[in-house]
Amino acid sequence: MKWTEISVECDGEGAEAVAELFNRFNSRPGEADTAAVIEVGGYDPVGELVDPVITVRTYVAANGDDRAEVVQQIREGLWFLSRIYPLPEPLIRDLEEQDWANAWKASYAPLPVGERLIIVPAWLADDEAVLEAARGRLPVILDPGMAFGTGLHPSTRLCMAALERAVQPGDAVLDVGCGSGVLSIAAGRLGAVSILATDIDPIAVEATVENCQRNGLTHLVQARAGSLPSLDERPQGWPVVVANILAEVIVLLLDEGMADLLAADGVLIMSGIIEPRADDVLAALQRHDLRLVERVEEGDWVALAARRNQSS
Amino acid sequence: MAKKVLAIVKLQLPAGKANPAPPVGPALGQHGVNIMGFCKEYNAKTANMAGSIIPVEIIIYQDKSFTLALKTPPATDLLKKAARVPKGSAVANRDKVGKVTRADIRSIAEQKMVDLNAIDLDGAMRMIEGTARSMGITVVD
Repeated sequence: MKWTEISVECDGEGAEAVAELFNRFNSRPGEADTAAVIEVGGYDPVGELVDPVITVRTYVAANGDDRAEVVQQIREGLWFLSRIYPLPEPLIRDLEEQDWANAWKASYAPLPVGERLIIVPAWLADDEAVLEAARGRLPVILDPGMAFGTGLHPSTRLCMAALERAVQPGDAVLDVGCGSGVLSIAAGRLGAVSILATDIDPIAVEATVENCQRNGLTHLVQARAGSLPSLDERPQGWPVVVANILAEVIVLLLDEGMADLLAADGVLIMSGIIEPRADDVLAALQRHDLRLVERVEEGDWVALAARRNQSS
Repeated sequence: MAKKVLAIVKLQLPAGKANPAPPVGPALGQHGVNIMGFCKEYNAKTANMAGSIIPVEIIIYQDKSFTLALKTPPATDLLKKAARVPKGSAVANRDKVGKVTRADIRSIAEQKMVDLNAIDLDGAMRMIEGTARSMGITVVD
């Protein structure tokens, strides 16, 4: 089936009126008010809404000759609306028939990360050609979904590369803010034998458990809801602690004692830091008697690694 | 992992019946969101509200993961149910299509209160009454 997409860019007030118009002319029988999609865009790299762009869209289905009529009604409605409220010309385009359920997967391909790892989307995990291409790298199989951490963000990739350098076979790893579990799985592939993954979002904990199952690593990874664990759980501390969150949250976690969870010769990997905020994290490291041992950047994003000052 | 917002998409869908056809497919697919994952989640969360239109706000992050928040059904949907009419009037000031009681208005206002920007229930009731009038639904005591 073919579809015609009509979209209008407007401000918040105009959006309601345009959505109402779309819903009036284009809702399916018995499903009133379901035709309009309102999208708010214009976020900067840290996810702050700096320059809001509101787009209202609707999709007109080709059912017999109705389509031209509905499109015409909407065009006229928008024209009348534009007499009382300034609106730009609507953008109208035809969409080719697509398998909507699968088209989104095009964004994902196996993604080599660092020197040794490769992220493989779950639905490609059995694909011979993909396995061949991934040969020689350690696969991290992920089903992207509700939990954060699909490997498509520079901060995840920086973190995985840092883990490659930090994790020694047999290590224990603490993953604070585990999201999809991508870093815990990477740590497991790199030889860590005991991984504690925590996230304050229960959906993330669930996703981590599921993704660990996909990778056959459930015996190595313990995932649970929460923030920092207690040092009582591992009095000697963790050789590797990884926190891929946001600069503000990392500073907060440092102030809550994240550094104390580090083994004497342990390494703390921090990512999700936007470049202008890196100094805040560096100041917090100094405050907590940690020294910077590594700084890597990709685009606007920075990942840092630090160790305790008294260790050599 | 840090959550950095890419876009927020607002949709109104029949409870329990989200599917990858438009509007869901193209609206989310263009951002690389797991469409089936969204449909599954939405349908699971709205399964017990079948027959209602439940608005949903999808926050899409830069790494294409997402979260969703359900909103209360649109006032128009609740009013049509209360008045037992399939749709509102095209000429609301002239053709009245149905009636609701003040008690109906109160219960709808109570349900919608969380999503309305009204300071108290009286204010919320006045908003719902206004919506009823604009649809050609009369309010009776």
